[in-house]
Amino acid sequence: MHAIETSVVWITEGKGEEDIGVHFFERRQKRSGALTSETFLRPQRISTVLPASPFSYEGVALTVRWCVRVRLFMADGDQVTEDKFFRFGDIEPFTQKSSE
Amino acid sequence: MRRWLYFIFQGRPFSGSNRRWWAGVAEAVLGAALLLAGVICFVVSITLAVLRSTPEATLYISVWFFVAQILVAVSLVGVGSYWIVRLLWQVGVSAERRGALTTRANELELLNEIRQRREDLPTVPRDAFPPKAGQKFDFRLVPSPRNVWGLVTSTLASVILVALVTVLVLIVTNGFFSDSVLLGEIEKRIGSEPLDQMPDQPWLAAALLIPICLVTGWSVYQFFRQLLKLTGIGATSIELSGYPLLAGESFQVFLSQTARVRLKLLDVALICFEEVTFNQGTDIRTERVVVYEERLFRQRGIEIRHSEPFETEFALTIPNQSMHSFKSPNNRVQWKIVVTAQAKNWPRLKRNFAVTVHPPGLVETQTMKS
Repeated sequence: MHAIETSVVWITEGKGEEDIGVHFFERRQKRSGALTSETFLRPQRISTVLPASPFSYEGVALTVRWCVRVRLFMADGDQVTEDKFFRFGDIEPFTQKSSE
Repeated sequence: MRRWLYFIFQGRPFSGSNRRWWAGVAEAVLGAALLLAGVICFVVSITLAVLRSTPEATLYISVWFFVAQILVAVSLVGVGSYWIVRLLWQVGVSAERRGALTTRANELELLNEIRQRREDLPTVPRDAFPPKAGQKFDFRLVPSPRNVWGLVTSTLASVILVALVTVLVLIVTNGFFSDSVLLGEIEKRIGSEPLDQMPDQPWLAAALLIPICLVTGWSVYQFFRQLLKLTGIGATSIELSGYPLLAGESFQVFLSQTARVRLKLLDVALICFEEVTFNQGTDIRTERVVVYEERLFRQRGIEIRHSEPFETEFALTIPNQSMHSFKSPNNRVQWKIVVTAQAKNWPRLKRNFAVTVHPPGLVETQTMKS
């Protein structure tokens, strides 16, 4: 593994094209010394203050989800991505009334 | 005749409301008719001048008569356009004027403060038309200009299509009748030689005339419909006691509605919809889904005097734990207040007032100081 990227993002899901907003991004590389074999011996911590919006939302044609995304860049060129979703805010899901 | 009038007005011939209805119809129709008549007159003058020109004389009539025709046509277009613009101005001016009169320095500061605070809210869209200072409450919402653009589009389409149809009618008439029958008859009567060469009859123009006439008829109908919608039912003004809106909080709404006619129904609703854009094959499609709808106000049978608008107040509550306004490149959550006005013998009018709902926490709603 030669690099690891950690980000906090919101993504939209549903019928529309996917949009993504990156709130936090950090890249650790072996080359710069920020990524060593000891990195994986203990849990790593990231810290960020979430913005005031958007809140997590589960609608009819649109869903907004927040997640912590970890992307591993392997030595052979492969990438492994892991998303850990979390809920931000306290929005109740809407149900469909009609189509315009 | 009187029986028919009773039938049309359901026993209320030429009541005050009907008189105002006819006054509104007459003003709108006359303005539109003058505009279209001017376009037809202009196109007829130019087209006949082109069709009837000969190597010896570029005009088939005297120059002064031609200039007079053009002047009449331009005057008709000018008067018709002025009439329509004046009607629209009359319909929309009251709210603007009231807003301008009540603009105060502290209210402007309040609005600027809101704009600055929105910088802290990513994905919450800015108002395309920020609220103005109101008369009753601090914030007067600006209606979506979609209806006016509809009128502009339908006016342009009607003018272009009417001009096109006029040219086609003249070409067809000239090709089938004028040279072969009318001119021949005239030439026989005055004893000159009949025409040596008959022009080719314009079959293509004749074939195109019918479908284009149908499209033009529909376009003119839409033009009149849009015009009546905007001029018949007057200005709608909505003012809010606080802005931006917050989930779970209640606000007071002040509604002011002018009209030339008796309203059968006045309905105000709060609506939230999702709008998503996606690719389907080679097309880019946009779909809207209404996810929340609540009636805020409804009243039937409202008699409005032209000088005194109908005014009322009611409450608006954004449901607790509901989604705030959201906008990303392909997805949107939008809140709006929709006012629907329905008058007898008049197209139903819908006016949209987009509102921004903020997430609770960071931004406090500005409320009325007084």
